[in-house]
Parts: sequence; C-alpha cells; structure tokens
Amino acid sequence: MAELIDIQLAGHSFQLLANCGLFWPAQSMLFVADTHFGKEATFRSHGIPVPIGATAATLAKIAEMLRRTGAEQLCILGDMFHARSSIVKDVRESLDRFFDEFKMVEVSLILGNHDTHLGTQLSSWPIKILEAGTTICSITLAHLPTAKPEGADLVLCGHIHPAIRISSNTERFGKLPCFWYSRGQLVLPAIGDFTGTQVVRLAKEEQAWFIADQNIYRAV
Amino acid sequence: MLQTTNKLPTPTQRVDRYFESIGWKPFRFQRDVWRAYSAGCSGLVHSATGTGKTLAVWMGPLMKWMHENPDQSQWNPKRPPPLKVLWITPLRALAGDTEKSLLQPIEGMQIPWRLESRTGDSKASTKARQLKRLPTAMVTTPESLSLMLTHQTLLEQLAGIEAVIVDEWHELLGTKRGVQTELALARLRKLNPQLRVWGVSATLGNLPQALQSLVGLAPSGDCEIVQGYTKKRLKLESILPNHIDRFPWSGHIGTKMVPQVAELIDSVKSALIFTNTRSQTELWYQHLLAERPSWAGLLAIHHGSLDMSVRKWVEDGLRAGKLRAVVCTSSLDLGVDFTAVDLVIQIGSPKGAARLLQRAGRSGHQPDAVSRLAFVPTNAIELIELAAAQDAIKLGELEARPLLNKPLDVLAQHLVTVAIGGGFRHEDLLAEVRSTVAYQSLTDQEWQWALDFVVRGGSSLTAYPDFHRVKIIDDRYEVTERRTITNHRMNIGTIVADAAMQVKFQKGKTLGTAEESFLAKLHVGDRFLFAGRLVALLRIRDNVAYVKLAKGKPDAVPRWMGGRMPLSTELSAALRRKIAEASQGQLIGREMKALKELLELQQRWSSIPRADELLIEKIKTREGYQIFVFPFEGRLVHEGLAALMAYRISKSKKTTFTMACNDHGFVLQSPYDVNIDAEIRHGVLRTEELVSDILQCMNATEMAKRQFRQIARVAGLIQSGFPGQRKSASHLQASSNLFFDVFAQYDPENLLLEQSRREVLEFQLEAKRMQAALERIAASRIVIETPDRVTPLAFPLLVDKLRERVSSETLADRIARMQAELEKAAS
Repeated sequence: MAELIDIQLAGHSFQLLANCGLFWPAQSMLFVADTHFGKEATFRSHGIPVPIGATAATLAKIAEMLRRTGAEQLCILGDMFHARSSIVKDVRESLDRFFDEFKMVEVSLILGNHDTHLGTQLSSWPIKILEAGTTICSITLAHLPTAKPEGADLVLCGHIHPAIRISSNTERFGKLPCFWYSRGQLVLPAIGDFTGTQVVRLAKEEQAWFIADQNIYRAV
Repeated sequence: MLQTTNKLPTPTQRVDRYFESIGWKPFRFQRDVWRAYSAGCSGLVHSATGTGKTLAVWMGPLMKWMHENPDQSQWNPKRPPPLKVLWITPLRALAGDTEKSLLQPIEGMQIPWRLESRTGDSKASTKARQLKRLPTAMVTTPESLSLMLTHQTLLEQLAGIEAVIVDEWHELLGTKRGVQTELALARLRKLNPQLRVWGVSATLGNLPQALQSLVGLAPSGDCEIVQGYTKKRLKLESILPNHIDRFPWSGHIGTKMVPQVAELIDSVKSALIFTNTRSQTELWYQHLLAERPSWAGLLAIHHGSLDMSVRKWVEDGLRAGKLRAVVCTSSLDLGVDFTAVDLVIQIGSPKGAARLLQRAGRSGHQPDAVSRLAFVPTNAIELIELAAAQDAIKLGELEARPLLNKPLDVLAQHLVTVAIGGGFRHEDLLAEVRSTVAYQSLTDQEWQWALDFVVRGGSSLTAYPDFHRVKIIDDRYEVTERRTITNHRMNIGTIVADAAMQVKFQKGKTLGTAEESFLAKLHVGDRFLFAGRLVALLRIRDNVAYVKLAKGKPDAVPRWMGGRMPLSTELSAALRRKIAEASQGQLIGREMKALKELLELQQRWSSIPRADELLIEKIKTREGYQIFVFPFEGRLVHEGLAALMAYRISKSKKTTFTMACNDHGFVLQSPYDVNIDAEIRHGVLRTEELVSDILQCMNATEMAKRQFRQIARVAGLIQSGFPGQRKSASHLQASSNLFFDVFAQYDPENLLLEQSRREVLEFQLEAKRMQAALERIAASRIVIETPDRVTPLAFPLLVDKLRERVSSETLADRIARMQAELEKAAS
C-alpha cells in the first residue's frame, strides 16, 4: 500500500503515482494521459446536464503531483480536451489559473484523437505540441498505442483508459484504473475525472499497477 | 321518426347477431361492461384466465358509435370516423395479434372504422400518414403514446379520443412504464375531460389501487371493477420424485425429473414449460431433447434473448398446434392465447400465487376445458411452496402489485415531452401531474426541482452553465431547439436493455442476444448453450459474437441478469403457515405428505419452527462456523437480514463473513465461533436504526449506482438508440456510473441520486418487508439448535456458491490480504 511506487522498466527508473501520473526523475518530467478537459461542458452544450467540477478536479490532481515531484516538465499524452465545445468560460478560467501557478513548468502535448479538431484554440496557453513518436532518451511518446520503434526502449502512451478487474477466490473489487505494461508499451490510466475505463486482460508477460482508494498497487 | 328507428336493428341486436355468427353468447360480465361504458363509466375488468375480456372492453365503444349512427346505409368505409379509441398494449410484439382480434367484430358487423397499429415496429411511411389523420382506433404502446404527445399538431385529434383501453394493465402497474402511462392518461384527460379509461388485468391483490392508478384521482365518471368469467376450472398437481431425496437437491435444478416430465408431455397435445431463468430454459430444452430425440422439430425454446424471428416461429407453431412443447420463461406469460396448449408445466418455485394462477391460465382455452398446471420442484422444500400457493389461491390471497411513488426521472422525461408537444404553464401541468396516483404526493420542492432539472440542469444556479433543454418563453415552458426535440423523441421510454451483444452464426443468421458481461468472460473456442444449440465462440467483433455449431459438452451456460425474483410477501406468509402446520405434525395435502420423511428428519436433527418461532442452526464445517437462520421471508429480505446481522456483529469484532441466501433463509459463515445467542440479546436483530445500518452494510452506493442506470436513461442523461446516427455521437457517451460519480461529487443535492437510493431501499432491499420481518422476529421465540449434521433445511444454503461477503476491514486491508494470498499461492 503506497501513494507511489518506484519501478524499473527497460533500464529506466520511474515513479507511478496514485493520481494517475508517471514521473520520470531523470528528465524531471511528469506524464499524464487523457485529461479530457471540459468533457462536462460538451455534454451540457448538447442538453445533457453534467455539473462543473471535473476539469478543476483533474487539474488539482496534476497540480498535486507537480508539487510532490517538483517536476520541471509536464507532458500530456493526448486527449487534452474532449471536444471543440469543451473550451468554455469556466474551463478556460481553471486552465488559466493552473498555467499561472505553474509558470515554471514546461507543458507539452502529444495531440490525441480528441484534440485534432481544436484548431487554434490551444494557442491560448503556453503548450508545446509534440509529434507523436517523439523520442527522448530512447523513450517514445505517443497517444495511441504504437509498436515500439527500433532502437527505442519503451513507448509511453494513453488512449485506452485501461482498467483491470481485481478479484481472488474470496474477494471482488470490480474494475480499477491501471498502468498497463504490454509489449514494450506503458499505457497510462486516464486521469480525467469524468472519463470511463476499458477493461484489459493481462497476458502472461504483461504487468499492471492498479489504483484503489488513493493508493497504487502492483497487480500479481 | 319513431318508425324509422324501429326498422333499424339496435346496437345490442347487432352485437347479439355477431356473437351468434361466431357461435358464442355474451357473458353476463361482458354485458355489465357494455352497460357501464354506455353510462360513461370507466373501469377495470379482471380475471385470472382470459376469455372474453377483449370483447368486453372493445364492444363498448363500438356499440356507442352504432347507437349514435344507427343508420347503416350512412356507414361509409371510405370515410372512417376520426380517432375515438386508443388501445394500449404493453408489448409491441402483441400489437399485430391484438389488431387482428379487434378487427374481427369490426368486419363482422361491417362497421366503417379504420383500425391501425402505431408502435416502434410500424413503418415510417405509415407513421407519417397517421400524423396527418389518425385512424378511428389505434393499437399502440405506452412509449408510442408518449411520442404522440410530442406532436403539437396531433393534440386536436387526441382531444377527440373517447376511450383509452389499457390491456394487461397488471404488467404495467408498479413499473415506470406504468407511471409513464398514468402521466399520458392525465394529459389525455386534460384534453378531453369526458375521457373513459378501461383496463384489462389479471386478478391482483390490490385491484382498487390498480383501478385508481388507471383512472386517476379525478375520473370523469363512475368507476367499476368488473370480474370476468370465473367458471374456468383449475387443476394443480405436482410431479413428485419417485424417491424424495433426504437432502433437497438445490443447484442441480431437478433435471432428474426429466423422464417424468417427458412422460407427462407424451400424455398431452401441447405443453408450455415455464422455467424461472433463461439459462434453465436452455438446460431443460437440451435435457428433454436428449430424453426424446424424436421430438427434434416438435420441441422449441422461447425466451426474451432470442432473435425475434425465432420467437415468432415458435409462437406461430404454438398457435397452429404444431409443437409438442415449448420451454420458455416469462416471455410467454403475455399474449394471445394458444388454444392447443392443454398443459402448463412450472419448473421451480412459482414465487407467487398470482403468477402461478396466471401461468396455469395459459392452458385449456377450449370451451369447458380445464386449466392444468403441473409443478416440478427443483428441491424438496419447494414442494412446500406449491402447497402454500394452493392454500393462498383457495383463500384468494393473491399478491398486490406495489405502486411506484413519484419517480422523478419519469416526471423529468414527461416535462420535456409536454414542453415539446405545445409547451405548458407550470401551475397547469402541476395540477395535471398531481391528479395521477403516482404523483399525488409530489411536493412543491420536488416539482420545482424537476422543472429546474429540465430548464437549468439542476437546482444549483452555478453548476450547469450553458445548459438548456427546456426554455421559459413568456411564462410557458417550451422546447425550440430541433436537436433537443429529435434526441428526446429517440430516447422516450423507460425500458433499459442490459448491455447486450448479438450472437450470430458466421454465415449471418442471428440467434439472439446475450449479455456482454457473459460473452466477455468467454475465450475463443468456449462452448455454450444458446437458443437451444451448443455453439462455440469464434470471435467478437463490432459488438457481435460470432459462433459456430459445436459438439460435446458446454463449458458455460449464459447467465442473464434478472431471474432472481424473491418469493412474494403473500406466498412467504402462506409458506410459514405450512411449516407451522408441519411443526404440529399436520401434513395436509399430497405435497406435504410426500415430505414426511424429510420433515421428520429435520425435526429429529434440529426442529421445525412453529408460527411464533425463529429457527437458527449452528454447525461447524470444514469451511468454518456456519449460522443458518430461517425466517422464510423471501430472498431479498434474507439478503438484507444476512448483511445486517453480519455488519452488526462485525462492528464489535473485525472479521469478514461470507453469506448465501435463498427464499427460505440465509447462512453466515465466519472464521470464528460466534455466540449468536449473546449477539441477539445485544440486539443484532433490533428494528432500530435499520435503514441507516442497512445502507451502511449493503454497499448501498454500489447498488444505488446500478439502480441509477435506469434513472440516467429515463431522465435523458444517457442517450441510447441513435439508429443510423453518425459515429460523432460517441463523444456524448458516458456510463451511468460516471454520471453517478460526477453528481455525487459536484451536485450531491441532485434528487436523481436520492431517487436511486430510495429505489434501492424499496425494491432491491425491500426495506419495508425487512422491517416487518424484524418486528415479527422480535415477537418470536428464538430457537437455536446445534445439529450434528447439516439439516435438510440448511443443505441448499450450504451448497449455494453465489456468496456475498460483509467485512469490517478496510479496502486497503482486504487488498493487502488478497495480495498476500495470491503471492503465497504463486510461490
């Protein structure tokens, strides 16, 4: 039981955080995936009442991890915003406050499938757009799960919103969001507060770390 | 003047002539209904087995029209009268058959009415034509009726409706579809204050309530309850095993009885075999076919998950008398009568006396035939249930259908419906809504919340910026946005389908649907029984499971949700009476006598509880310390009581209980010995703090989340069914769990959350029944036995593998313990 777990993958050291982030100390870089900011606003604009709050809560989780790790860089692995209609006044204000507080943090984004229709709206904030497939120190960054390129040690990605079902003969906990390591790819859980999950089944050589009740556990 | 009318036959004469032409004579109850109708009354016609109910309610409007239009030479089929009668059927699959049977008297008497159906299955072109001019009489469903209310242009025609007839009202009563119907009826009554409403229903324990719900609190005229034809004779029998096992063989679903059942089917023309779950249907079908291979093609299977074409084939076969037997679930409880069927077989507990009676009524439809039902117990104790059900039927103690109390999700949907269909002023609609039984106690605050929900998203002024569904324009609530209107029309209704996947052969023939959760657990190549065949999974793609025929034994039987209906309150009480009789050594009836040996054993090893006793048995097995408790109150109450006891005991001592329940009692298994006597003295069965404790221990949040699925769908949060809609709608998909969480976190005042908690308490936990049970237990003597062996009453509970658990350990503790266990097992 812990709020973070130190792991070694493909010769690199990382910390997995219970707030759905991955910290890479060597680069002082925090990764999160699938923030889906403003998803609730998109629903409202289509006549489905969803209260505000999820965007601010997601940002608060990221802020907590930035403070805890002292990361100098933040990289969002895609699906930063849910849709064009997601960028409304209160979402904008929450993000403004966040970027204000973390002026010193360099923020980058791998565009996800949800981000492709945003047009110029992203330019409101100091966000560096990275190509999918950008490789830093043999670690490749992507939104969609991608086969590990030749020469790379590891792919970090999102998109799937992975979760696993946890149970034993005597206990059942249902599905819990997880980090999923499969075939050279480490898929991050979706950090967005108003996002769903997709259950993955662990194959033999795969690993997962799941999150329950503000703690992170290694799945056995 | 007088002379001319004298020449014309009176409506009564015409009707008598029509009956003569089909070789019948009107029953007295039918004449009663016609008289009441012509006097402007509304009412409810009920009977257990259905003959002549349709004609009873249908002739009233026809006779009234003939009375007003006595001169047949003026009848012009090219110019049918405008809409007069709405016929509401609970199943759209029944609309076609209903239309046929309503058409016969129209054609027989050459009445120039136009009769048509309008349901979700109707062709778009028909619906469009109907929007211009509705037929004289229309067969429709509650959903289609609500949809019609969204068309402002139809209101004028709807105002001309003289009568609404609701068929099989008992099916709708006490459900959200029933409430939806009540609201629509209130709307129609507002449009035409003279509206007559007639219902047709099976016999229930609360007929006056059923009538009131139908006609509302301010009906236009007098209201009557008319009892239908009652002379139908009923024969109930049970198929007793040749040898009553010492232990009930629960879990083996009694397929030992297959040879006897097959023999019985041999002796009749055509039989319906009802089981309680779809999986049992599949198993019994396979076993019967294995027993009588020559029945291939004569034996069929019917349940709600099968493809429509398969079901239709079976129904046609039954109607034509071509099938020896059909194994089915409640899917064949409703619908037109199959005259060839002369025997109903009920496998396993009937769960209620009214249900047993209704099912028996599915057989014996020839004049003077006997409704015959054979009961096949799946464990010995169920025989007591049949004995009890027979007593209850004899005493007329049939189940009441409990009503729903002001579900706000249905109200919210209705508000949007009315806002689209011409809009409303809020005080007018409030009065109209409060005229229904379901919303008679709606408070001003609840009303305001529902309005806020559709106008602003919620009662909070700041939580829902930019949200609009309904707009207030000059004091009127209206919807103007095209997209909102289209979405609402597509999502009207309260039926929630479980996440289901189509099951198809590779070549393309659809077999039916199975729950996604079941299919997801299968591996490619796994064999399972489906639609009466053994199939193997090939692959799952695009929400379709492709299968091929397989040989050998199944690896899995699909489990569909539902089918865990508890024994009714009334039948539970009758069951306790039978047990109490047995405790006095009185074994009345064939079923009870058959159980003599078993009951004696129970008495010798432990005891049989008297009317004022609660039996508890304690025994240690290899698995741990078992505490068996036998309140005989039905499964749901036992689930609640088991969790409550476990929770209250574990509050003082950190432990984890596992538990199992059935309709007769429950078992708690603990790793430690529990001094149950002392625990009871310290109040583990106290009635105080019941609700708060039960919410604590039943993982009420999880249950509320599950309940929230339907609420989210009805209230328009989840948009299902976008036929042919572009993929772009996927960015508006979110699960009801997600909605629940986001409301709980950011708008905890949302009354829909409150509603889901209330529904959990009322329907999933049956809190009122539990309270009553605890009060009964408080007045009982507690008998604690420590038998040396597992007793006949306890055995079915011991072998039940579907165990739940209650724990006072934290989630972290439990995960840690589980991890340790798994690691130990792995090393």
